[in-house]
Amino acid sequence: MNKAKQKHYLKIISSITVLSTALILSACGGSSSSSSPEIENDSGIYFDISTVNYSAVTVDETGLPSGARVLASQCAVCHGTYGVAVRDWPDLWGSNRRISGWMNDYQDPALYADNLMHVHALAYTVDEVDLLKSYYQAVTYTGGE
Amino acid sequence: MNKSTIGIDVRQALWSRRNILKTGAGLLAGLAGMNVLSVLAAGSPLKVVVVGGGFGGATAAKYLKLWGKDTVEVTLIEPKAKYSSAILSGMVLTNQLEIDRLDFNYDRLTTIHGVNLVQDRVASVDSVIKTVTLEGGTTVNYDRLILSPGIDFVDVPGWDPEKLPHAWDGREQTEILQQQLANFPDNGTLVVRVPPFPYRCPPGPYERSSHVADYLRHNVQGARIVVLDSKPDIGVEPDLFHSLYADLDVEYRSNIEVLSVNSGDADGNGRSITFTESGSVIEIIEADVINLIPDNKAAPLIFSAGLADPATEKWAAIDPLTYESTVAGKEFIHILGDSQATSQPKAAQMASAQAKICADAILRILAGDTPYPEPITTVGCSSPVTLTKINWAGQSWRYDAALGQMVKEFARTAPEPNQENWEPMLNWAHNMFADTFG
Repeated sequence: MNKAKQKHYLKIISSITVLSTALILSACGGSSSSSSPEIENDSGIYFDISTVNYSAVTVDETGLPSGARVLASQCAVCHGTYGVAVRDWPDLWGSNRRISGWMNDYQDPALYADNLMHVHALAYTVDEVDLLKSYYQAVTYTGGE
Repeated sequence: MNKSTIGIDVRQALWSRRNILKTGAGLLAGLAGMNVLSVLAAGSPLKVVVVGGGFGGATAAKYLKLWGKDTVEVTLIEPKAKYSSAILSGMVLTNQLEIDRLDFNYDRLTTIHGVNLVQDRVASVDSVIKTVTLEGGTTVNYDRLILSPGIDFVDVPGWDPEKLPHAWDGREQTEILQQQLANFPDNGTLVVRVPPFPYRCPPGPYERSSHVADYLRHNVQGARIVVLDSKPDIGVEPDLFHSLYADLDVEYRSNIEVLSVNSGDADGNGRSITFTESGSVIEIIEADVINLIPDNKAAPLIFSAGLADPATEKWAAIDPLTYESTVAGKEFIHILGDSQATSQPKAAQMASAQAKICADAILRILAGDTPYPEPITTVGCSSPVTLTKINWAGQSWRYDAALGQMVKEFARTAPEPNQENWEPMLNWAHNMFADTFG
């Protein structure tokens, strides 16, 4: 985890702590009133959408199969455009991922029935997973986080 | 529509652009394609105009430029300077998140991705000469038009949305409901009205009801919280929400038909909702806050542009391979997201998924190819259902060539809402915001 991510992570944790504390105080205090509850402390939740440097992304489209781009783009909504994720979340870009392995694992109901990735893994055939893999391994990112 | 004809037209246009010097102007006379003259005249890229800067429109604009680069010129038309996300806006209602954190401008789309932004509203669409006229008076030509205009609401007698907010679209409405809930009196009454399917964000009204109920239970005493559902039962995860409503002492009532509302006076007095349950006696509930989520329909632009499905007159009929209108004479107009008629859930993430399929199809056609024949759309969304517990739901949809429709293949929900899903929810939302606006 790099520094920026670590900072962000701590912010989230602290916001949850603040929230939980507020709830406990409210529950123990007992005397609810009709005064407006305000966010006394900053929620700590930010969504900076400018962290990915798209000029540092290259896609080697040589021999990229038809359909790879559009199928892979469905993953990007949670895993970042070109598979370059923001926040502390799995990237998909690059040649060293085991996308087929992950998707195969996530299809196992015994292990992952309760995981959101289970439904996404079931959604693609083996051939389609190969298309996803072919796309993301063609992406190179040199921009850091 | 006749896909093959369109493909041929565009192929001819491209071919002619490449060969115009060799073959001369005589070729022009033989070409019927409507794109040809504009493409040739400017020697220019395909002009795509995108209307609506929400998740559908912004994603379409961005991905057209990412994938199409200089072969497309993309103009995004949106009246507002910033988009205010409905995703996570439940946390604004409960004072867990500042509303500004959900605002996203279009700077990245324009400066990084090369999208032209026009801050205006569409007055009319001419599908014959292929122009969009804006309220400011400008007329914009298009080769392809993408409309992602969101939803509109079916009116209810007596309804003033400034007093009885739907809080189902736009920042201003969220702020009204947030303020009303922040000032909720002890022993007050909240009514949430749940519309019939289809509407934007199927689980949303149920999630909001339990989330806000938990908030009121922590902040005021003796609140009466009533959910008036148009449907015969909770339409999404009924076991979960019945259980949450029991825990939070929420009165849930089904088969409700709202007859009228009294929006009350400026200081909030006199608000009431009049309804029947299963068509029996007329009842009235007087309430301090009425969150009236009316029946949804396509945005006004769909109707004024003649794009509503003739069968339902509610939503825009499209071909899910391209999201192009199937109404005769409306070729080259594509509709994304909540306004279109497929049975895929109306949700921001689904609009974004459709936008990518639409962008890909337009670029494939431009390149002389046919649309990808078996698109998949997936969603996996998270939301608080109480102040601390997060629920998620995922679905995948696949094109069925025999039916010519998208069909739901798989669906899963969280085994139970919990606090561990808090951070994944923020990760999910953040990546989605960045994929669309970043």
